Amino acid sequence: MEAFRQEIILSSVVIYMVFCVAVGLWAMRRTHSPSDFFIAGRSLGPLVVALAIFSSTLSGFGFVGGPGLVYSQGVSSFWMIILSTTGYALGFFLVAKRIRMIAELRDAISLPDVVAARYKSEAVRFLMALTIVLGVMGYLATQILAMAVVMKSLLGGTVMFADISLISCVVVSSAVLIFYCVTGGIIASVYTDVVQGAIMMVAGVLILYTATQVFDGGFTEATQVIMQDDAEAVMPFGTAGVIACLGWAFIFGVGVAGQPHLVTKMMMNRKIADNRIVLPVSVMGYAFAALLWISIGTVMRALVIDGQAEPLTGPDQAAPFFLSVFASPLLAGVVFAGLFAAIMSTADAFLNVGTAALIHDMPKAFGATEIKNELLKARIVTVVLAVMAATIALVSDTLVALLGTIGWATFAAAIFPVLAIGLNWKGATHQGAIVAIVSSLSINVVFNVASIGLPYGISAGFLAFVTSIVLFVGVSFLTQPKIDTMDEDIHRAMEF
Amino acid sequence: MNQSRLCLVILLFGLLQCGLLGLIAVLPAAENVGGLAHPLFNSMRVGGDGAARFLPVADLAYWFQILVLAQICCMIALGVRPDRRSSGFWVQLGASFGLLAAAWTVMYQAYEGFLVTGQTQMIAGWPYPTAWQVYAIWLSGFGLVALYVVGFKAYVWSDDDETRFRALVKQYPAR
Repeated sequence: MEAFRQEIILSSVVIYMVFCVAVGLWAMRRTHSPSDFFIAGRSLGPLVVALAIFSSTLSGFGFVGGPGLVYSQGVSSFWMIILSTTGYALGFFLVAKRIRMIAELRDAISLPDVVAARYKSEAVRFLMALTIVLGVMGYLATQILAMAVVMKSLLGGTVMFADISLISCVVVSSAVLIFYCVTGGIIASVYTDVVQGAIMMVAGVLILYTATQVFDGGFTEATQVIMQDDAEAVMPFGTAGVIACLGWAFIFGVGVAGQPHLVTKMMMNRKIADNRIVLPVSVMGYAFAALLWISIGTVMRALVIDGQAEPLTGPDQAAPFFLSVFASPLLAGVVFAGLFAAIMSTADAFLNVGTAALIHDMPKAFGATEIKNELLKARIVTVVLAVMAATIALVSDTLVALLGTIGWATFAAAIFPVLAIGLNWKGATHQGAIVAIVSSLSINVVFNVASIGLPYGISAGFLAFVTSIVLFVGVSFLTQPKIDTMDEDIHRAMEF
Repeated sequence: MNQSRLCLVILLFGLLQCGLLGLIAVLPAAENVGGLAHPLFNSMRVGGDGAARFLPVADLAYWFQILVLAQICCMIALGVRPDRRSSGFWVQLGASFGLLAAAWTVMYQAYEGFLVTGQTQMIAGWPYPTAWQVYAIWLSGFGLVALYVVGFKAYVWSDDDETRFRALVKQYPAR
């Protein structure tokens, strides 16, 4: 079997991609309206929603950038994962019920639709849509770049495609993604997510097992090797230090409920009561899949330090290298398919929310009452968005992981307070929402573009998130109207 | 406690977090505060002298995270209708907070202990402080998941809510 390693791995990936195309064609027949295209007609069962939520969370960033971060920085990036259980619970308590209620009451098909209904403000709708478009471009580019990096690494090991360029890989992987997203919309997206989520869970567990077998002394020996080289690398705050880690925990833990590609899926379930099943399944799925992040990064760092592997050319090579060398051909095939699954499940979710923001929310924010040919426009814009993101991916030389962090932090800071707190507190005002979104966008963009560094590894995203919560609540207290201006249906929905 | 009072507490915690970040920002930083380049491997970093970079901010960082955990629990209370926040709910939420705070505190103390002695045991593949991080902190969040799942009908969505919501949807046809 070892002699056919490359063929087995490539076959697994090709089978997976053919499956995605088939689902796209199947879903096309079920997609008749913008509501079907964007929120699957609010008809999904709990297992589908649960797997779609967690598989969208753990993206290419989790499967490629995550192990790379552990390889380069030690344990630090564990903080991006370990508060996820708490973060998911927070998101379900604050968002899952109310967003689904407002979605049904107002026939909302996007997150900006929901906040526009809540705040009775087209300005808030516009800013929310703008935030989504900005974040989506960065994040989508990250996903496409991750797909291309994995594909190049995979095909580079074959004789026929040894010299394949990154551009060719971007084109091929984007083509499959665009096909099933354009044809099947969110229905194709969530049903591929189900299989993607299952593959990711299996991959996480099997890779953990494989990683424990690499050293004779198991995982303990691997961490001891790292410890002898640099004890801090394997201590709780890794090489990045305590404040950087707490920033990541805050952004990735609390910020879960501010991710548009996740909370939009909370609008799609058939019944609100299903959330009781969705939360634990999502949390467990995420935990299993994240085992890959932890185990590959740790073992690869130990292998290089121990001289058993050549130093990697870049941190993002950690996962592809480990799979190519240490996993059995069958497992490598499953996990490589899982890698593509992780990346595509997030990319398709971003394409969906980004398209909704551009063709549905932006026009509505500027006064459009009816959008003609919305389904056709959605399909065209999906292609345009993906091509633009692919172009960004090709001209950007920033690490996949770094881009991922910026996208997540931007969403967390701008969306979390407006959505999660705002849907549960009638005292929240549109002025508070506007200030929170503008301040978080400004801080994230200015600090990242100008490369302004803060002491002790305080990141721009961390600062923006803490600040936006304070500003949102503070400004809302200062601008509360004397008369309740909220629409009666929303007012009553917030009393449940 | 009504929603506005809870939001005042959330605001207070947020202001304290800003204050702590401000205090941290003005402290003189050690050379290796964000790690150093690995002397042998280009794409790796090392932490170096852990005590030099950790001890100046140790107390501030500890309390920052306690504030975050408390803020999370307040937000969770915000997500539950005020008249459903029974004493049982507060006890369970308090216990969940206690679990989160205890895991954080033990991990923190274990790490401080390692910095002082340079010695640690290996537990299930990790040094003792990291084992608390990987296993206890991650798992401690399940207290809140359990609160959601077990208390779903009492705190989140009852059968009566479903009936009332259906009536609301009928009363206000989607626009």
